[in-house]
Amino acid sequence: MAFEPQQIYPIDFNTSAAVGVDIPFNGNAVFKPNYQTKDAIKNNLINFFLTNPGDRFLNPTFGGGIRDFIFTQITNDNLNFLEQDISTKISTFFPNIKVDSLNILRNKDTNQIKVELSYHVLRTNITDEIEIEFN
Amino acid sequence: MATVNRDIKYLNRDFSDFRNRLIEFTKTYFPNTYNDFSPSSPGMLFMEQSSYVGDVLSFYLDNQIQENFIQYARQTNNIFELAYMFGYKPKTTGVAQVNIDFYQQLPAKTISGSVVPDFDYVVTIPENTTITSTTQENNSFLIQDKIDFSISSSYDPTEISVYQISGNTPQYYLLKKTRKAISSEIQSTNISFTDPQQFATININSENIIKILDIIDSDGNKWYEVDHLGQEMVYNKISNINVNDPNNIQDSGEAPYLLKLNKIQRRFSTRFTSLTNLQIQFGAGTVLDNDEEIIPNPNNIGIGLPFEQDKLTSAYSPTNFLYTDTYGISPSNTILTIRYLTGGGVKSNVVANSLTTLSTSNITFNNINLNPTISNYIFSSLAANNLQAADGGSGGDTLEEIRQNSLALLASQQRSVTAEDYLVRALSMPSEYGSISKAYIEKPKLTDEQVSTIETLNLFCLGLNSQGQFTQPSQTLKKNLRTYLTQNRIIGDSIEIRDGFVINIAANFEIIVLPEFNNNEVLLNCIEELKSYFDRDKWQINQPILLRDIFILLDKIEGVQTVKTVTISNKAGTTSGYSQYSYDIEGATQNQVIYPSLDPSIFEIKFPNQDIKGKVVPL
Repeated sequence: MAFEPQQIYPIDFNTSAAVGVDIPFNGNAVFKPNYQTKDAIKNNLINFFLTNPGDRFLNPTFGGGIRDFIFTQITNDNLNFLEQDISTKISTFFPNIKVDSLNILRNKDTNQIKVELSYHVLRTNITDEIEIEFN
Repeated sequence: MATVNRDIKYLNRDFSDFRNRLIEFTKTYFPNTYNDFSPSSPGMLFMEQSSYVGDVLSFYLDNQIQENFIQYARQTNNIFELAYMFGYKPKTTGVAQVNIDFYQQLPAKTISGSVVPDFDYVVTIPENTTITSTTQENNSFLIQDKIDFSISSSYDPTEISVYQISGNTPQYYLLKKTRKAISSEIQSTNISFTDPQQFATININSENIIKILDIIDSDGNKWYEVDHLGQEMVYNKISNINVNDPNNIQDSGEAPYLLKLNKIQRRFSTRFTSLTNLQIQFGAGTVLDNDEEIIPNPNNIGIGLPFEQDKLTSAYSPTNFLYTDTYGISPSNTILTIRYLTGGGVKSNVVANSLTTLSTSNITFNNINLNPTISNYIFSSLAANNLQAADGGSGGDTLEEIRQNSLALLASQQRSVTAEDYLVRALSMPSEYGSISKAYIEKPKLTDEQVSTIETLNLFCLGLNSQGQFTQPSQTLKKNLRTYLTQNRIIGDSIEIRDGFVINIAANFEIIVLPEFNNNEVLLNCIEELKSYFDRDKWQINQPILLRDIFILLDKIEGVQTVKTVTISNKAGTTSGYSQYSYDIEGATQNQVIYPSLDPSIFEIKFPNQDIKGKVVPL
C-alpha cells in the first residue's frame, strides 16, 4: 500500500500568527483574524461562492456566481446544473481541494435551497464542510 | 515616422504594482496579522480594492499631468488652451493664397508733343475688394491691400504697356498691378450692448472662421484686436501723406505708410474655444479714457503701478508699459458691428485663370470732373485674373500642428536677443512700411567714430529702387524700421541703423568652346548663368566673391572646353548710374577670393545686361 506523506502548514504551529480573516466582517472589530489554515480555506470558499464573476478587478472569472441562481425555478435540471457548476469551479479555482460530497437540498414550500459541501485538502489532514443557505 | 510616446507615468504604478507592493508591505510590517495572499481570501479582496483605487487615482494623476504639457496633451480643448498659453493662435482653417493681376486701361494724352498715359483716369481699388471664381462657385478671394494705380514703387510696381494703337500713336495704355489675395468672405454680425459689464464676452459661431476683420461701434469708433487685454499699445499704420507727416512725404513711394505707436482703450482679444466658435472678450474700464498716440517717457512708463518702488522690479513690454489696469473699455449702450472673415479649405484652391469676376462696387476714380464717356469706358476696362492656381487651402491646424507651432513660437519668444534676431526682424518688416532688401548687423569696431557706446549694434541696411537695384534706405524707411524694432527690442539694447555700402562690379570672362558647339549659344548660356549667380537675392552684405566658384560654374556649362579668364572690375560714379564708392578690387583679391571692404558692403552687378561680358577665344 502506497504511503502518502501528510503535509502540515507551518503557520498552523505559530498560534500568534493569523492566516486570514473570517467572514462575515461583523465582529467586535472590523476584521476577525483566524489562526488555522483550515479556517482560512473555509472562509476562502465562502468568499468565493459569495462573489459573482466580474466583481473582482482584473480577475473577471473569479466567483461562484451562486446568486445568479436565486431567481431561477427550483427544478431538477437547474439543481443538477448548479451542482455541476460548483464542482467545476472548485476544481478550477481550488485545485488543492477535493470535494467529498456535494448535496443541494431544496424546500419548495419555503423556496429555499441549501448547499452542503464536504471536502478535504489534498495531502493534508484537513477536512471540513460548508453549508450555504439561499432563501 | 517614429511614434511619439505620449504616455506619462508619473507614479509608474498600476493595479498589479499596487497589489504586489501592498502584499510586500503586509508581509514586512504585519507578518502576524495576515498571511493568506491567495486570490480567494477575503483579505485580498480589500487589498485589491485598495489597489484598484490606487490604480484609478494614478491614472487620473498621470492624465492630469499629461494634459498639462503641450507635448503630451491629447484632448482637443486642452491643446487649444495650452497653445494660447504659449501665445499661439490655432488656425481653424487654411486659406488659399494667390497673386491676382489687376488691369486698368488709361487713355493717351499729348504733353509737349509726346504721347503719355492720362493718369487723371486712374482708379483705386480698396482693400477687401472681392474677386470671385467663374468656374468654382462660392469661392471668393479678398485683397488685403488697396490698389492705387497712380502709385508705382519698388515694392508695388505698376507695369505700363501700350494697349491700343491708332496709326502709330498709342490710344490706350494698359496698367497692371499685382496683389496677393486670400480665399475668404466677409461676414458681418451686430451685437447690442446695454449696461457695461466687466470683461463682456461674446461668441461667434461659424464654420471656417479666419479672423476678425474689424469691429466698429455705433458711434463709428474702431475697436482694436490685441493679443491680450493687458496690452494697451498697438502699432497703427497711417498713410504717408502730407497731412499726417509733412516731413516724410518725399519717401511716400518707397514707404507709403508710417508706423505709429498708439495707446488704445477700445480693444478686444479673441480665442478659439473650438473649431467653430470664436470667443471675443472686452475689457473692464471706463469710457473716459481716449485713444492717443503715446511716446514712452519716464513719466508715463509704469504710471499705473501701485507703488513707485515697484517700477524697479516690474517687467515692461513695449506694448504694455503703462500698467493702467483698465484692460480696455467694456462696450455699453452701443451696437458693435463685427466683420469677420470665413473661408479657406481645400476647395478654395481654385484653378488658374478663374478669378476674373471683380466686384466694382467700391472702386473709385482718384479724380473728379472726368469725361463721362471715357470714364465709363475706363471703368468697364477693369479686369482681374490669376495666372497661377491658388494653393495653400487646407483644413485648420491639426492637433499635432498646433502642438509643434506652439513650441516653435515659444522658442522665439517675440524678443530680439541676439544680433541674428534683429537681422531677421528687420528683414521681416511688412513692405508697406518700406522694404529692407539686405541687412547686416555687427558690433561697432573700436575705430568707429560714433557717439554710441560699444554695446550699440550697428544695423546696416539696403533698400531697392524701382528698378530693383540696391539703394540707400530713405529716412522714412529707417524711421519705420526703428519703430518696428522697438516692439521686440530688449530695453538695454541700442541699435544704430546705418546705410550699407554698395560696390558695383562688372564681370568679364574668356572661354574656349568645344568644336562641335555654337559659340554664340554657349556664350549666351554662360552669361545667363553668371546673371543667375550674381542675382541680388543670392547675395548678402559682406559676402566675398569666390573666383574659383565662377570658374567651376562656367566650366560646367555644356560646350565649354576651358574657362580661360574671369575678371571682376569695379564700376563707380553716380554720373554713370553706379555707386559713388569705388573699390580696389585687385588689392582686395587674395587667393582667388575678392573680399568686401571692412565697412559692411555688398557686391552688385547693377546692369547685368551690359556689365557681364564674355568672349570666345581660340585654343
